[in-house]
Amino acid sequence: MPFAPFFNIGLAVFLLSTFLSLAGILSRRKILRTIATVLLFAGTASLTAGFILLGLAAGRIPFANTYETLMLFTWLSSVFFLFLIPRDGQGYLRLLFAFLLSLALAASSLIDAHPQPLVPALKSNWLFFHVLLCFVAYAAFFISFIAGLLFLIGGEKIRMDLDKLSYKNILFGFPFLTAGIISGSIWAKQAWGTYWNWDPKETWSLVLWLIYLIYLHLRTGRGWKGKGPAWISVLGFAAVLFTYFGVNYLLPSLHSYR
Amino acid sequence: LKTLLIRILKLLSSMRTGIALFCILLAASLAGSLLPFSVSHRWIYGSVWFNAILFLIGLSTLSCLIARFPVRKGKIPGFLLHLGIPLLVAGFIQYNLFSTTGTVPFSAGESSRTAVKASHGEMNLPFTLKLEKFITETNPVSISQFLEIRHARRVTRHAFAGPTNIFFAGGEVSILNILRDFRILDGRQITDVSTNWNNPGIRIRTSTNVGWLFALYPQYSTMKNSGGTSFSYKFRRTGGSIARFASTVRVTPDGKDPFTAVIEVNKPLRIGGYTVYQYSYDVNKPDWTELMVRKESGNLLILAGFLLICVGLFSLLFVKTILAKDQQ
Repeated sequence: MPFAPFFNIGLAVFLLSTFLSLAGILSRRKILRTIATVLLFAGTASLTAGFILLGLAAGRIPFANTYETLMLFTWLSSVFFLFLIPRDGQGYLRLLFAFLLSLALAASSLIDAHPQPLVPALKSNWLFFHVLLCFVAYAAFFISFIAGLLFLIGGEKIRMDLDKLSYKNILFGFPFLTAGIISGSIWAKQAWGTYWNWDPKETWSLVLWLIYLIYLHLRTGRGWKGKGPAWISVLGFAAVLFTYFGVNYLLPSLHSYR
Repeated sequence: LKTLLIRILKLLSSMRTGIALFCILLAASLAGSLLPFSVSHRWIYGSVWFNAILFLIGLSTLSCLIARFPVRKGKIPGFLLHLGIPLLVAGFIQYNLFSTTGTVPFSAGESSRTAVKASHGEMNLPFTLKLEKFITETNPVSISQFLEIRHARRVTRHAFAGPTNIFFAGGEVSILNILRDFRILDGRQITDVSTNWNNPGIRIRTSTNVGWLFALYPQYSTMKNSGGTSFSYKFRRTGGSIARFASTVRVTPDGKDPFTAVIEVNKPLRIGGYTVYQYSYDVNKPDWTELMVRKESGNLLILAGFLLICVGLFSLLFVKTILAKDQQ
């Protein structure tokens, strides 16, 4: 069974959820927000089915190239987001999340979806742990970014503690990012003979790690709150995007698995 | 002297110093990633000032630990996490200063008990490596061909593997010939010059015309009939990439029995404190390969650092949260 239709259904459902969330906010009708929420669940189910079928089509864990990892990212993000829905009474988070996830799914249509065999360096059990750990972190940072962005544009209109939500997601994602970098380092030693080679992907992972490390130190040590941390969560996710896509396409790297 | 030491300890253990060091490391790493590899390795990552920053981060974290000693029970996860950092820095210093690397380039049948160092010296090995064979395996090539028909604003795709007739809403089109490596010899003779898909071409007959389409040349890949229906030849090649490369070596350690080992990417050989990695090969020399030999130091400290950082962080995240919930 082909995997692409499930991702296309997911895209359509998330787009519809975006419009209904917007309509729900503008008209203040609860029924529209409820339907938008149901659609988020349906979209996540569709992404789950698509991701399983993608793995079956590839005949391996589908973590090897940009398309597969983008699908992993959208799937993980949508699963994480489902846990936040009860707290999003007004529907602003749903609106922004559904819109951005639709964009990510639409962008995936520009990438070659055809599963390719693994290159020798990727044939390792570390692939599963390294990629999964990193993308759990990326998904958490994505949610943190949405909360941060909403905090910056919505201000006090939104009756929910976006600052805390953003912080908690960074707090959750940071250990996974750290473990992802460490597992990658141990794997690099096994495959290429060195833990760290200052390859652009490695360096940008460190940049990312340092951004969130500084955030957490300022937050926990100095009680930093408000617009400053929100900006860092936005900047941090911009660094996630560059580490993920920018390095693959713009910088020469050992990690350019397109 | 005691006052000075206390002042230095206070300065190093302050969060302001730590954050300043992180910011410098962040800025330097960012700049290094945008510069050419050779430039960034020479002027940034390999420079004294950059390594001094890393050293200072280790020292600053160590000072934090000393300043906060003895540790209270609830602070153990944070203590373990921070203890991992100086261990890691110490491990990397040891690893970079005391590890030796060399390469062994050879062809099948050749032996070596030395490795060539990047610094032009030689590294004597306590074992002899004899390359018995070197193999490369490629993924099978899979070819998919389609005729994309655009008729009355509808696009349909039809897969084919050989000459065939394709029916669509607007009629019928025939694929008459398929050539893998199309060439015109002597200005008129059309022929297939090899079995490789270097220049795939198909000859098709529509209701109004006959002609050749070439998948790799977009300007010649589409034909229109008089009714406005267009026919495009699409071609996709997958596979053919390197699936595996491996060296089978006969290893004779000094004073011990020889044995045979297969070395490949992700499967290095560990022998007497040395690690042998599959390093490179040359597509033009099928039985030639290059192995990399490393005598390593500092691995234990690095792995201990990694372990403590992970244990500390996940304990902070999960154990502390659970404890806090229990107390509530």
